[in-house]
Amino acid sequence: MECNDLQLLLSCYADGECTPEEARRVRDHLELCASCRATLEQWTAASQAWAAEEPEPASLRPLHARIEAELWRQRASARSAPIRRARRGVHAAWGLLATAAAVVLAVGLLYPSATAEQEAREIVQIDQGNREEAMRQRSLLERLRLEIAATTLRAQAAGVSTERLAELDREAQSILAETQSLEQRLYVLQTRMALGALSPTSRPRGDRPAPGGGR
Amino acid sequence: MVVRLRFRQDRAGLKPAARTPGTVSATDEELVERYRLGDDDAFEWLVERYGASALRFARYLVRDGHLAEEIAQDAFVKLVGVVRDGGFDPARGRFASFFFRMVRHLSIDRMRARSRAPQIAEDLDPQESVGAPDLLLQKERCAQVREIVATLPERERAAIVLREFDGLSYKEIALALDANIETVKTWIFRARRRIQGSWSEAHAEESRTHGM
Ligand SMILES: [Zn+2]
Repeated sequence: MECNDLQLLLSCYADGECTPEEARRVRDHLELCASCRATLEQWTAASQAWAAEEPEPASLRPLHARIEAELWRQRASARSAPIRRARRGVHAAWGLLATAAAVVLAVGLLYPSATAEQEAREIVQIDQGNREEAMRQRSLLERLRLEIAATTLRAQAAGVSTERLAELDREAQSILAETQSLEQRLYVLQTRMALGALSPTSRPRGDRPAPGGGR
Repeated sequence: MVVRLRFRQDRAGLKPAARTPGTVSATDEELVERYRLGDDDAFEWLVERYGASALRFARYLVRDGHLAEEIAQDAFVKLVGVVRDGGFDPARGRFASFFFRMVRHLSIDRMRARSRAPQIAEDLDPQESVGAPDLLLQKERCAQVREIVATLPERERAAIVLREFDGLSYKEIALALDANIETVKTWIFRARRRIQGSWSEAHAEESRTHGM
């Protein structure tokens, strides 16, 4: 019977996966066959009803938190070029702060939904990445101190007076202090915003299904 | 949406999560490449695009919401490594196929590890409905389809989910499910017929009970 032969094509037609020739065949048949038209309608109705399914935002939260932690960990371990990083030295000390905040935030994000053991695993993972990063930061600071000392020596050798050098150093430190204070302000602001968005008032804790199903 | 703080100290200080211009219109493949070159925002975009899909796909595969969450997380964590190592080759197909294939394999691994035969619809039961009656009906119908889908064979189920929710082409589904296009065609058709069968039965029943 033609309808049966055509059903598979009808399904392809519904998905826009037919050749133009096949599509024409289907259309010609649909014009004559109420039964196949009804089939196509039922497929569409079922598909639309099914589409009402929405993912629970709560179940995506641990996902985002873990990815954030993973990206952080990856970036920390990818950084193995200290010279290149030395140029970004201004921001070095500050990474430690960020590291601490990352733990707080990641834990905060995980807390409402992750199981205790999942949480523990995440924290160990995040913590390991952060510890590695902290060690890198420390050795970077040491390197920077050495480089500053070396620069001073080179400047003296080139005939720059001690007074002039001290003046330049003060200037550099004052610019640095200002930069850091602005960055810290921005950072505190961002942190507060992020924590504000996670506070109990805006994030009810009971928004996740209890283990065993149901909402 | 949760405001997430991103750490950017290797650029100019710590910046808010400003989206790089053009990110929204970038293809998945472009995002992958940008992440490979060091742009973490690009990866976050992939998570935005595929997070819910990965979760849903895994849930239909393993029929367990909590396990599905773990699988989705594992998939992205694995993706980080794979992309960093240049393990995604766009010449071999779209990112969607590549990614869903990964989710499926992780799902299979996890199910094996738990040596747990897939159970029927543990997590796919009708949800408690709140709200207007028409919304209620819509939710009931949705639950009804999900129940039918939960009883389909694994790859038919996978194929219809990727088709209906993620809009993958037959070719992309074939790549994701390690099958050929003709088989995918049949899976989707069979899935539809099963859904339609139970659907029209249920509706006939509904009409009778409502005296229509
Ligand atoms: Zn017909």
